[in-house]
Amino acid sequence: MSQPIHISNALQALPLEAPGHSLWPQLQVHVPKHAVWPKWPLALAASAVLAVAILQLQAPDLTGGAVGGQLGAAGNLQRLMDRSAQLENDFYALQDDAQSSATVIAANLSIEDRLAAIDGQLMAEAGGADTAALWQERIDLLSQGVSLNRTNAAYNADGRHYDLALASLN
Amino acid sequence: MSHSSHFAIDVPDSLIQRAKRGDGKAFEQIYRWFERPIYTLGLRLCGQPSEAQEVLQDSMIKVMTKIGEFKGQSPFWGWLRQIAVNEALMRLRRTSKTYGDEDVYEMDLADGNALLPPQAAEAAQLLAAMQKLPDITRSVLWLYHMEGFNHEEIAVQMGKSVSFSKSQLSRGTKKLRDLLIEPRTQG
Repeated sequence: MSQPIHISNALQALPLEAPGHSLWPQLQVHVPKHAVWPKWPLALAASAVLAVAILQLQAPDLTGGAVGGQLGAAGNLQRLMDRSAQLENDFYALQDDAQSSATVIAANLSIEDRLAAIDGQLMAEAGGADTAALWQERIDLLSQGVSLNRTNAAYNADGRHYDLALASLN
Repeated sequence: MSHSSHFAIDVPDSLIQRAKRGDGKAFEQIYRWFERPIYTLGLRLCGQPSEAQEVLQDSMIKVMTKIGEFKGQSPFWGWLRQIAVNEALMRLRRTSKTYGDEDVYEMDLADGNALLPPQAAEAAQLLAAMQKLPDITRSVLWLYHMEGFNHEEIAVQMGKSVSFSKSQLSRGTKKLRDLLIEPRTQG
């Protein structure tokens, strides 16, 4: 044991860890009762509610500066990624489940799911022609999330309760 | 992407199809195979057994509810691992006080030394040193060296820049080196 060791080799030599007890007994209640297929109708409905809410939020620009379109085709990938990172930090920092209605929480979860889907595409794309467009899509989605949570925070600061389901009916 | 990952388990298509039909035994088999890889990933990224357990639980619930969306265009283990990584990072974002930091040092980017002192061959010493790293630094090290993600992939998943990932990797390796050489005086 006297030679330096490459960090990859050292980490890969570490043993697998196991939880103190199996979680399967409590997990098995989540086994779907029927065949599991993509829930497109539900996803589309959630997106529709989110879209209505986002349209309402677009009147006052609460994102700290519009991004869409400004970077253009010539904008470089690094700028898009930096902007995405900044917005993502804001998106999570602004979330406050304790002060949010169920519909706001659901909208945040929907955004997180859509972010995960975009990230999956980015992983598969890995520098392909659509990479910049996907990053722009990610930025747009995060901007919507930031707007949503800023509005929610503003309502809370005024002692009011922000509910997307009610807001979308107005 | 490296297949040295503990997740790299070939799951038969027949088992996946059974799970998609709601077969509890198929899900149980999937759980048995991936329990330790998911738990270990959760522990390395989040740092605490309780958090690793939550990562395992939430990841498996997502696998059960979203398996219908797995199209089979890539290995099942990669799809499942992505769910686990997302769950662990989401938990880190919410709990880590330093997650929002974006500091990048040019000195870090220039340091490409990936060698650790011989003490790193001792699992207990290496784990103790790893535990002293900031969560986000330790996560970058693990995702890069153990799971085989490149800097662009890590940046995407963490919502950070490529430079940040490179800087964390370099700084983390150096810090690990220091901790292993002087384990009693570092902190």
